[in-house]
Amino acid sequence: MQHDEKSRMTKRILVILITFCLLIIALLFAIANGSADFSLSEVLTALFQKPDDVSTAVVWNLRLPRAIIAIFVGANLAVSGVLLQSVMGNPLADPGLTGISSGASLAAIIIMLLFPNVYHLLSLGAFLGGAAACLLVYGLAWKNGGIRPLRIILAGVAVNAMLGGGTSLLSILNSDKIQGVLLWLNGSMSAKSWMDVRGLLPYSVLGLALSILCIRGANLLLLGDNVATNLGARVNRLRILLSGVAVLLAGISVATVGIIGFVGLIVPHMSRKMVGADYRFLLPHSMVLGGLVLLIGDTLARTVAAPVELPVGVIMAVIGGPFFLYLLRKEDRNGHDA
Amino acid sequence: MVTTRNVYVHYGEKPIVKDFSHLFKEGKIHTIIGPNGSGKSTVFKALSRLLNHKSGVIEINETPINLYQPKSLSKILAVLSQTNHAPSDFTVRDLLRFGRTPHKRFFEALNKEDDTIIDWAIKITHLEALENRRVCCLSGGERQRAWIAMNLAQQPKVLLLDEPTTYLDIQHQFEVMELVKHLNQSLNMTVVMILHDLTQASLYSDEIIVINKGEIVCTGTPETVLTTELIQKVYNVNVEIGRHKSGKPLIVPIGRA
Repeated sequence: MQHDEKSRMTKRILVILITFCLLIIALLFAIANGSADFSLSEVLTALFQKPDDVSTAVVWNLRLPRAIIAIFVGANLAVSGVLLQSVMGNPLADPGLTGISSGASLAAIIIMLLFPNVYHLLSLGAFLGGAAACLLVYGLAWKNGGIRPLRIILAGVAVNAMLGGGTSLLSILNSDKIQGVLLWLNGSMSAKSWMDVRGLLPYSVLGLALSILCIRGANLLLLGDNVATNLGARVNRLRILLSGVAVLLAGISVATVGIIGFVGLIVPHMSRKMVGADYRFLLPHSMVLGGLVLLIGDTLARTVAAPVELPVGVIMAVIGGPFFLYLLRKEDRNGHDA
Repeated sequence: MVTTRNVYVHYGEKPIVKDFSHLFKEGKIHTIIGPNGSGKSTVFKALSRLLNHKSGVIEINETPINLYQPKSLSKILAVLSQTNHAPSDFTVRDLLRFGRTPHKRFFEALNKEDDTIIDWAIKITHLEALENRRVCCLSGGERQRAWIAMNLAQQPKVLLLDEPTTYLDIQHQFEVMELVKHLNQSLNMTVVMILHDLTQASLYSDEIIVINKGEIVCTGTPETVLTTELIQKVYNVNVEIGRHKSGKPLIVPIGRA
C-alpha cells in the first residue's frame, strides 16, 4: 500500500516537471518568433555568446525581458488565485475579488488622465491603489474579531463595483485621451525592458518563496474552520497571512503590466485537474503552469494579428473564458465537484 | 482530567450553557445526552475553544484552557466534529497527515516519526486496506473511522466525539462504538461524547451527563441516571426499560408523556 502512495506522488512530481519542461520550450519558442524569426541555434548563440548583431538586440534586449515578465506575472497571478481560493474556501475566488485590480485601475487611470506629470510613478501608484482597495475590502469584512469568507466576497463585490464606477466615469469624461489607458486596463507587456524585470523580480521571487511557506496553512483551511481550529491553527491569522502574500503577488503584477484577468482563476483549476487539490503539489504546479499559460498568451498576443499587437489581457479573456466554460461542462459530465 | 466550574457560554447576549460544572475523569467514557437544542454541542465548542466561555473555569490538567497555546491544546484534546468534509481527492493517509499539525512548526515537513505514528493510527482503526482510498468514496462508517484516526494521529489524551454514530447503520454504529471502547481500554483515552441513542449511551458509558435547556439535570452511572422518570421529564416521552445481561438499562420509547 505504501507503493500506491509513492507512485501517486511520483506521478504528481512528474507532471510538475513536464510542465516546467514545456515552459522552457515555450520560452525558447517565444524569443525565437515574432516580427523576425530566428532558428534555435541563433537564439542560443544570442543568449550565451551575445554576438554584436541584430539577433542579440532582438532576443536579448526585446524578447527575453518581455518573456521573463510574462512568466513571473503568470506565476504570481496563478499563485495569488490559488491562495485566495483556500482563504475563501471557494474555487471561484480570483485576485480581482480582493479589490486589488479595481483599486489599481482607478489609481492608474487617475495618474494617466489627471496627473500625467507623475506618469513615472504609475507602477507605485497602481500598487498603492490596489493595496488600499484590498485593505478596504478586508476592513469591511472584519466583524466580531474575525473575517468570514462570505463577508470578504460580498465586500469585494461592493468595493469593485464602486471603484469600477469611478474608473468608467473618468474614462467617459476623458474619452479623447483614453487610448493608453485602454491598453493598460487590458494588460499589456509591450515594450517591457530589463528595467521592468529588475523592478518586478525581487518582489516576485520574495512573494513566490513566501507562498511555498503557506502550503501547510492553505491545506488546513480546506478542512474547514472548525477542524483547522481543532488542529491548533489560528484561522483568522492564517487567512490574513495567506491573503497578504496573495495581494503582494497580484499587486506587483498589476503594477507592472496592468490588469490581466482569468489567469488567477483558470490556472489553479487546470492544475487541480492535473495534480489534485493537495497544495503540496497544487501550488508549485500552479506557479509553473501560470508562467506557461501567460507566456503562451503573450506570444499569441504578439504574433496572432501581427503587425498589430493585442493586449494579452484580451487574449486571456477571449481564450480563457470559453476554456473555463469547457472545464465546467466537463466537471458536470464527470459528476464530481471541483 | 477536564474540569469545568460554573461555566456559562453565550451566543451573543443569550446564555446557551448555564452553570456547567463537571469533572471528566481520566480514562473514563462520558456521554452527554439531552434533547435537541439543549446545549450539548455548545459545551463541546467551549471545551475545544471554538467558542469562548463567558464566565467560569474550564481546566485541562489543572491549567485553564485559555492559557494554552492553540497547538498545545490540540496535542491533548482532539475533536471529532458532527460534520466533516475532506477535499474530494484526499486519501485516508492524506487526511491523517493533518493530525500531525499540532506537533509541527508552521512550515516543518513530516518525518519518519510522523509516518510511524500515522501507521499506528491506521492500524488501531483497522484502516490498513483503505489507507490509499479517497476519503469521499468510503462508506459512512469507514469515513468516521478515518476522521477518528486523524484525531488519534494528534496523540491526544482526551477525545471529544460529537454524535459519532449519527447517520450510520447499526453495523457501522456498532463498529464505531466498539472502536471508542477499544481506544478507551487500550490507550486509557478519556472520552467525552454526545449521543442521541440512549441505549448506546447506556451500554458504552462509565458516566452519563444529562443536560436540558443548557443546565445539567443529573449525572451518574447509566443505571442510576437512565430512569423512566428522568427520561419522561427531559424528553417528554414514556419509555420501557429493559436490562442488558450486563445489567445496563436498554431504553425503548413507547409513547408521548
